[in-house]
Amino acid sequence: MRQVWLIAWHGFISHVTSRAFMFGLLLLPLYMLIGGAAPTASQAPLDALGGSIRHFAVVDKTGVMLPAIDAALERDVTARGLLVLSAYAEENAEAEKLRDERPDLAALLLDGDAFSEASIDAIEARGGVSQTFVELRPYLKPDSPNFIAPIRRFFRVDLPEGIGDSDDMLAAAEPYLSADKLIPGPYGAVSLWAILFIPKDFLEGKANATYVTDDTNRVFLREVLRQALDGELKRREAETLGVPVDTTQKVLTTAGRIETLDPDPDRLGALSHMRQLNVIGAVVVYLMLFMAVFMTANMVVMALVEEKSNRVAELLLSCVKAETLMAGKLFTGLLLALLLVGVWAGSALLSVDALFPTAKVIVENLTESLKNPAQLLMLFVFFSLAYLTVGSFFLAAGSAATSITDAQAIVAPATMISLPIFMLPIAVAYDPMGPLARFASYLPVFAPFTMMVRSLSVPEGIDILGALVVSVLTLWWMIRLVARVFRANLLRPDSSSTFLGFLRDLFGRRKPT
Amino acid sequence: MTGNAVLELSGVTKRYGDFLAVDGVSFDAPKGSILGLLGPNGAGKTSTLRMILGISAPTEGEIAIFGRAPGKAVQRRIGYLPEERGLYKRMTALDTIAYFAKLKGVWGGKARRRASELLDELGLGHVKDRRIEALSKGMAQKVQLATAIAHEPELVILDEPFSGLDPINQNELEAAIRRLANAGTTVLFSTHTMSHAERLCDRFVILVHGRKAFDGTLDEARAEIPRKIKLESASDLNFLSAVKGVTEVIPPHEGVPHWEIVLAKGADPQAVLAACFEHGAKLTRFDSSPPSLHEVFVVLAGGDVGDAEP
Repeated sequence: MRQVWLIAWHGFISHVTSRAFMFGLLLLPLYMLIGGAAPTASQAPLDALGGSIRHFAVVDKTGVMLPAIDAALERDVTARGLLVLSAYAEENAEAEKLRDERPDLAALLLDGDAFSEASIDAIEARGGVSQTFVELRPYLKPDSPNFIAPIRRFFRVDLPEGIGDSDDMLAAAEPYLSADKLIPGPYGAVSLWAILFIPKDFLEGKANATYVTDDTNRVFLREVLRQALDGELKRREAETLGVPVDTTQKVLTTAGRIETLDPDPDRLGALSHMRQLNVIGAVVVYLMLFMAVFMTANMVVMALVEEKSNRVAELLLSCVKAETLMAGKLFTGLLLALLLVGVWAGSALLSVDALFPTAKVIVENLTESLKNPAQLLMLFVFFSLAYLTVGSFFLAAGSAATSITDAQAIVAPATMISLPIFMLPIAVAYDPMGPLARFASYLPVFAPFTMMVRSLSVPEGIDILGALVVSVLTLWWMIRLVARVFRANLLRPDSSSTFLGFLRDLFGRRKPT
Repeated sequence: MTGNAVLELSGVTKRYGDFLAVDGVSFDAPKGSILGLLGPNGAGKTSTLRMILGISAPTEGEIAIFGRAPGKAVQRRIGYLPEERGLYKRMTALDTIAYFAKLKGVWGGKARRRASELLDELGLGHVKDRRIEALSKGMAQKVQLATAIAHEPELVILDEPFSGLDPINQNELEAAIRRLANAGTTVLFSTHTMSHAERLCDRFVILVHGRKAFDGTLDEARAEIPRKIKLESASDLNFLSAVKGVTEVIPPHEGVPHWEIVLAKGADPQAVLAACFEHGAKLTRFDSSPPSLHEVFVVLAGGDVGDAEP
């Protein structure tokens, strides 16, 4: 055992002190940080420049529509604030206490329909989102994060003089819409996103309003403006018909409510936003583990081929048995894989505060899942079994190769063939308790990979035991095959250098030298 | 077999598929001796050494080292210098020796101390902390020798230890091998450089095509082949064929500018000299020195000497 450890530790130190390994070790966390923080980092300067706020202008030839448009913009701010505050309350409020002591507030934030016009009216009646948050604050759990209200996304600005009255308004506005020229905004110069032109005959229904923008794909502003004009036209029509103002308002704010229900939220079906994040998290963790397994297995193979070609292998075999050497190499890879995963996971945890909100939620959910020592242990055990199974196969491939090129010729098809091992657990991530997940837990070779994903939820005990037995038996079988090939090929200068030749060695009856 | 044999091979055969690499070889190495394993390329030397080391198993026959089969039980009592040198290029000389010593069962601190002492002994004290890739070939080879003996083995196996070394380093290596033997270590080395073997070995085993062609001392080896006297003379020396003990007289021919007189086993060279005086033949050279190991080797190998060097 001491010799196994010596070989494993020597290989581990040799790799971790190489520049190439350090590069690979640190590059992924760097990518994660850049990928995770970029949206947040880019948001701040964009906000400062007003980039994420759409500035638009209105040319109102009727002279009466601007108040309706401004009111609609305010309502949009309130509506979005209500959505965010409802989600915040759901996550951070002490629900029972809130329902007992402030049923009105609970009805609005926890049990109401945050999309409904009535809810928006209700929160406006309370004094807006900020005031409602003040009311909610006594019912928040300790250490709740700060509530950040969404920023206003649409700002109405005035057009430079002359454009609205121009005979060819489109041509006159074009430099502003294409951001060649900036216009004064509330906090400095901004680019113009859109212009709404309302002709004089609009109120009579004789002409259409025109929405001018160079980005027709994003329709949120257009929709807010359409609703504003639509509502105002209806109000005016109702007034002409003699309908009381209250009645008109009631009609305009009446809306049907559709509740969304998932009959079995733990099973595959319509995924909630949070479940989507959990699936993404599981897939990301799995990709990370899979990458660690294959990356380190490849590294160990290449090191073995080098030792074989420069004859260090012969010297090693004069000191230890072939099986001891193989075990040492396998544990080198396992140590490297654990280091990779440790550094990657540690980087994700350390940089969580710098990540954009969605990535932050993913990391926090995963951390929560793995706080349970039993789950963490399960992940460690199945990760190790997955590595040892793949690593031993790759090691046999390395022993059969006489050069790096030969090793690649064997390892590349082996990697392609192992793609289903990679794909199946990704499917399992969508439904870690489903029939596919349970079936894959008992499949040789697939079992440890599947259980790596399932370790993030809480699989049934019988599945854990079954997968463990299958994984251990598969590893035992694999090591027996591989040890024979390893022993037979390590000092052979003419060992098989093709994938098919390697398979013949692996599954054939070639005797060790 | 000798009573104090450290190593004994009995009818050892090794086949790789249809290829017979070693064919029924038997020999032994007494404790403290230097045994040379000679043979042209492909004679089965490395295969034999690998079987002794337990790296590969014999197809037939038995090997006993310290009375036991090759394997883990005796691995730590053997040191090995492979034919094709290989060390970890990025490791320092000291770490390399200490690492292999530890693999052979020497504990950490002692392994490093021993590595340091060996480097000093081999005149490499100043490059202890230098990486292998920064050492000259001779230095790297000495480091490799140190890895073979750092754990103080009782049997040292050296596969072509002199190949690639300059004459100065060859002499230093010879001295190191003698020191090992003087300290009681049994040394088995393979070589195709006959001069080293002739100077160093107490006994020789010559392999040809996987078979043992000779096993014994240098004198025994010389006795195996007919003795030749070399004569240079302007006279016709064919009269020597009538001298008692002379079996063949070979006149000068292409590539050989002297007469060669082949004697029967036990014949006295002085009888040839006396006959020359009697016939009034004037000699400019009379060389009756015993055959060199190279000559013995050439005869025993049947002319198939591969890249064997005198």
